[in-house]
Amino acid sequence: MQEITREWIEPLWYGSIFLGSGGGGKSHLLAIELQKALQNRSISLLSLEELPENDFFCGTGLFGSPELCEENLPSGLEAGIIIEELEKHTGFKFKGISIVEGAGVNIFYPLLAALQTGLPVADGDSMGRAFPELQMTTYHLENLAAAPLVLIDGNYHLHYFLDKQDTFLLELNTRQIIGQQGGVGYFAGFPYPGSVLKRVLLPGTLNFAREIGECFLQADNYRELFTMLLEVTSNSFYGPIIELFQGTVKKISTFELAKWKSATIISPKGEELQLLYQYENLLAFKNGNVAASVPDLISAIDLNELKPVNNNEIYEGQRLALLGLPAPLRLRIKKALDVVGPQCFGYRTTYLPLEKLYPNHYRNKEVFS
Amino acid sequence: MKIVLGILFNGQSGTLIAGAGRHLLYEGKFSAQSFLFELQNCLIHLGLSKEEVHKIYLTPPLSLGNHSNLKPIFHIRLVPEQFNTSFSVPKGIQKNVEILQVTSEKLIKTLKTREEQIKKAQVISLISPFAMVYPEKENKAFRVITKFTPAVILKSQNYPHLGFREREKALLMAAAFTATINPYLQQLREFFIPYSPGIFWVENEAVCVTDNFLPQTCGKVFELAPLVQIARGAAVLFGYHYALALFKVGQAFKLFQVQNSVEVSELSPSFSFTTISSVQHLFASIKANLPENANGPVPMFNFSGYYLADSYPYRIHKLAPSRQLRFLGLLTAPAEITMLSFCRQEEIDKNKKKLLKRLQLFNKKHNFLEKPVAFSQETSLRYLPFNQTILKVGLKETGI
Repeated sequence: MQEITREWIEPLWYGSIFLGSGGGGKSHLLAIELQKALQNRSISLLSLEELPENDFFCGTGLFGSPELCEENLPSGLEAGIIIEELEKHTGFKFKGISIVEGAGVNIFYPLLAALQTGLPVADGDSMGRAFPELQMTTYHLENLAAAPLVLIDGNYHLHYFLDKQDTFLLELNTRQIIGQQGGVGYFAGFPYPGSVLKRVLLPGTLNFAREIGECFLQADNYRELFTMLLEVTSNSFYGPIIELFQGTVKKISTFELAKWKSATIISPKGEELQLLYQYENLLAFKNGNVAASVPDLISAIDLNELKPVNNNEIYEGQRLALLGLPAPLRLRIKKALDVVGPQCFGYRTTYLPLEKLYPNHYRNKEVFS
Repeated sequence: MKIVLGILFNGQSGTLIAGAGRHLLYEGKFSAQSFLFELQNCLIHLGLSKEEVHKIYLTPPLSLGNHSNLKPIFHIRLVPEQFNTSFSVPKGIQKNVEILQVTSEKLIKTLKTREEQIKKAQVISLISPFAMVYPEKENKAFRVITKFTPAVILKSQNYPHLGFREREKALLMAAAFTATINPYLQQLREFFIPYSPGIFWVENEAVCVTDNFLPQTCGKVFELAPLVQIARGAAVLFGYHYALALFKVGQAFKLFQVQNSVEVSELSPSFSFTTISSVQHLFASIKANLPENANGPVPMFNFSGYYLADSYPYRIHKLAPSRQLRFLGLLTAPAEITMLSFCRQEEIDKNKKKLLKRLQLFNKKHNFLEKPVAFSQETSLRYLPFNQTILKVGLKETGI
């Protein structure tokens, strides 16, 4: 068992943005509040192997717009309320908190919930990155429902989804409520015992995010950063990162009739890359060909600041490096691609893994030898 | 000669300064009663006519120097009972703000019990969470409050800062501006008739006081304004195109970068920046990413009081913050005119063009900025049932 202390927060912050793959949001205020709260306290972190088989864990997180999270900054009290409500309705006494989305704001919210309830956190998550919808989880791949689920909206009204229902339906229902009640809410759901979590969750999320964040804190220049990230990712179940492109943002376009936005990036040699994104970075095209696609992670780094950035922070004239990180294998199987592949976001093509797109890079790294 | 006037307010008194380019030409004190006299005195002393005043820069502090029990700002937080609002009011205006925290349901009843205070307040500020995207609660409360007072009522939905705390800070600063500076604005405009020099508010950049300037400017870097201006003043005084400036505020260091002689931005990391080793580490990473025009030794103004030795490319200048540096940094702040719009994502391009055209016409009419360049900034609000973007479009001057 590890202890999450205040020293974890800063690296987790950068790691959470990188794993957000352009989305997932961030709340500096929430991270600072957590850092303060951890001044004289710590949170127990259990690896998946350490999870007690029969003890139930509860998944928590933020629904809606992370940008609006600071409009009603969570204090953790709401986590206490929803977890208690879920206990009341399921009859389970929760012995820990699990992470649903291991990126962006949703890495931090379960930590706040853990502080409030005094429960340990399981070091794993069910997305391996940021995704915008509830069904885009490894629970869904195992035919496990998100419900029973309790939602508290921005005006502190409670909403109950106690009957098991299709997760996509649940996504629509919760989104409807959030849209009408302030744009942000917090949930407690996914009530499963340790034995199930061991099978379902992608392991080591918090440690991996922290290791990624440490690279950003330690590197003095981009080359050093890339080398460090390569080492960390090569030793993970994701796989080695690859530099997709480096250049300056020339233009950001919005497509009127679609949810897509695109950023055109020009390299010093005059090459062009188009990054297409909705909430997260989803596709990259170089010279008219796919250069990376979801579910692989496409993360942007501001080269002046040497820090990861979300796609709503990209501006014209910004110098960026785009890095590709292979998605965990469990997100690449056919059943997973049916819910997280490019076509789920409206791009009707098959998914092309980074290893297929850049065989030389990956052969040299002896990934498939 | 075209000069820039700078006005610093401090309670019932203030300082009036004048300068041109790198030169500080005049400094004098004024009280509320002697303001116009001091203004006249400044021009006589410099042998200048009103026509030669090109710009007027106003800047914090905004202390109202209130000694009575009557508080000029009545601030209403319209929040649910569980809402966490243990936030601090910006320094300098705490004594002047009366805060009422109430739920929408109890608003009318509570207002009735505080009727006298509300009637005597000069400005009412009103904030509720999510008001930018869900303005109904504030609008309803606005209608209720107008029945209690004819005072100016500022609504937070017009302040495009994401996050309740950020928005509240901006709103309170705008309320303080309205209560403190508006009377001076009127006097200034009348004094300069028939000329109309541009009047600007300076925290970092000098933002033209147009109709909707308060929401976009007030409170953004209010607490850091003196440091930003001192950093700029040092770069201007020593004639550096690119420089760094290090300060220590309480436990934390603050590091600023000055580019193109006058453009200041903060480089301090988001998290703990409290040890000298964290400063050295930051210097090492900046070294690898210096802009192309920062060749050769990089001047670093050390205002922190800590000893730092020269280490290539950094050349350390140990300095103490001074009034003169701040004044110089204030008077050389790059001017800009900006406009804001809250629009749907698909309307961004159309709105951008529209706002830019309006700004260009405005600038042409008043001739505030010479050779301006256009800029824009978008902040998307995502994961909502509708896609909204905060669009800021502006024209700005560069260099001095």
